Amino acid sequence: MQFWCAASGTAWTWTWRPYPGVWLFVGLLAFAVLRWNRAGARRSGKTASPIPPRFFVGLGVLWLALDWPIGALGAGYLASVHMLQFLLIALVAPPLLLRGPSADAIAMIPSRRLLGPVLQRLTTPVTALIVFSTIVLLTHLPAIVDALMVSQPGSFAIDMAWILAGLLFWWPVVRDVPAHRFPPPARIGYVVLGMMFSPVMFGLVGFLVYSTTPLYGVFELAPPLAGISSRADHQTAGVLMSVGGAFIAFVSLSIIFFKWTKESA
Amino acid sequence: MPSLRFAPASLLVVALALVSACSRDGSPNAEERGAMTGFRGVTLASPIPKPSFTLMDQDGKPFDFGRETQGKVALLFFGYTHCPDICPLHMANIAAVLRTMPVEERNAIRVVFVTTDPERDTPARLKEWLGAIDPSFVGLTGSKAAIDSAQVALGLRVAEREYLEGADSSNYYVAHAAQVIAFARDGNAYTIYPNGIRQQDWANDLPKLARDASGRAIRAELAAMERAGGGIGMAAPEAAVTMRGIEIPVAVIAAPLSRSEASLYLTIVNGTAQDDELIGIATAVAGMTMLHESLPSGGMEMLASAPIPAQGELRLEPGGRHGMLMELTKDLKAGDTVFVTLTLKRAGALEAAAVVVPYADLEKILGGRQR
Repeated sequence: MQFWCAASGTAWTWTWRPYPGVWLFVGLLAFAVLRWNRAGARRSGKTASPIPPRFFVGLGVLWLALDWPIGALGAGYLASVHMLQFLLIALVAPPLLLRGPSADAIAMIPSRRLLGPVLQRLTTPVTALIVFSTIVLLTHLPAIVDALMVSQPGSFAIDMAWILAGLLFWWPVVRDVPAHRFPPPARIGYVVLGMMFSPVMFGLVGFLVYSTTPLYGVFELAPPLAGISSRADHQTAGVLMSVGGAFIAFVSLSIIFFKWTKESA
Repeated sequence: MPSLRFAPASLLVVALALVSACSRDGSPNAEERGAMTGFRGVTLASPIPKPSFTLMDQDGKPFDFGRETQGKVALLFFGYTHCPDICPLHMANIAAVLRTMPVEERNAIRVVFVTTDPERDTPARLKEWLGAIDPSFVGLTGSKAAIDSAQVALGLRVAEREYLEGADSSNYYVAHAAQVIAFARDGNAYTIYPNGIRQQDWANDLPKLARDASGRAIRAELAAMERAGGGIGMAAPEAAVTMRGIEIPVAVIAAPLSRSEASLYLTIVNGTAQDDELIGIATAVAGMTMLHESLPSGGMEMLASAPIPAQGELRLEPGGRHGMLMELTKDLKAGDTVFVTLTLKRAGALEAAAVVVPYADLEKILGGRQR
């Protein structure tokens, strides 16, 4: 039994396989937010309010992306599914997950000795954008993907890096951080620059779609799935990153815009 | 609140350090081999001459391998169409690269797939399977004896069926050699392509092979490489990088004094996160193989297996654990290449190209590469 999805080199079958590490991680994440909210409520002398349902939708998206079959296919068989995982883990799940912690829980952060200043610095829009783009670039470099995806700790590290990158990227958009003075027009520009017209994503899409030979050895040399050529798989990954990223950006831009017009009215 | 100077660029430094830590030290990968020899395939210390055999092609016609591929690059592979991984991968990768090559270069290359499962791989089945990959590929079948003798002629381990536990007798795998043997247009194979060879490696090597009608350029390139590497020292330890996460940076056989037995020395590097075990050694040149350990008392102990720790390595070396090849079926001379199949409990069968080296050179080769 594998703890976390990683490339195994064995032929793909549609027989279900358990990945207890994924269940444990998702469970611990829910438990941690619950405890954090309770601590925040205690600190402010209020009763803890229930976690918003959007958090659980985000948790579900995360689970879907990490567990069998998407997790297993994306870890060791198809670059396109690996890209779908990236979209779900780094771009779809984080803004939903960030709805989980209550305002009282968030208010506890600055008082934490090390975490407070680190998080305050990391969640400033410019830093968050640079960290997000750097992580996206590094976790898609062929040398890193090929080196890490063949082991469970390596695959786990990439997934965690995506979650971290996603949470940092979305934090300034989703959570109100008054100190950063991040008005809606700036948020729109931030999302456009970080996702819709991200030079990093554009570069990666170009390599995936137009490279004459497959970019990632781990997916090129994986036991083939009937009818899917490695080149077509890589090209699909590129298209997914481009179209998927733009679609998610479009949805989030719409939400920001409509909230802005509603608030203005 | 304490101020904190955080530099996002440090992320890049950490990641680069991570990549460096992840990179191997030991055997060259295909790209490094390309930088050393110009070829990304594994170069053979002594070329393999093209064997002569006639089998039946996918149209049911006789196919004389020597005659039909004369003057062309022949990529020869022994596999089977029900193979879940290596066979479709090798064939699909070659086909993908051929599609990008100019017609005149492409026409100089023939891909020949010999089935090791003649019972299930009928000509019709071969035609359908290869046709979906590249209709120009030739599929050959024949009697088991004829197919076995073609493998033996090339020094390959004869393919064997492996039955799945609890499955019916029609459901089986076939353990077979994992390398494509590339015969240059002069009729000699100077390079082989083990499992793990990528499209970019084929794209590097195939045009070179296709353009060189006489084999002179290939020989010159390999000779220059050998001179640069100090003779056999460079060519000898080029054992195959065989499977993701598992590598065999060095595999040599000490040139035996008699035809009775020879010793096999190698290193298996386990880059995966799971422990593994060497449980079998097989080669076409030995009637019997064993895993031995030299004892401090001077005696010898036979081992059923040898552990290969996760992120660690197993060394078969003089004075320690080593492979014994007994009942040799041919004379092994320094410079010969012998294909050895190593069976690992978790990773399965791996193919290594072990070069026969003089006993006096063992220390130099193993000392430099292993220690």
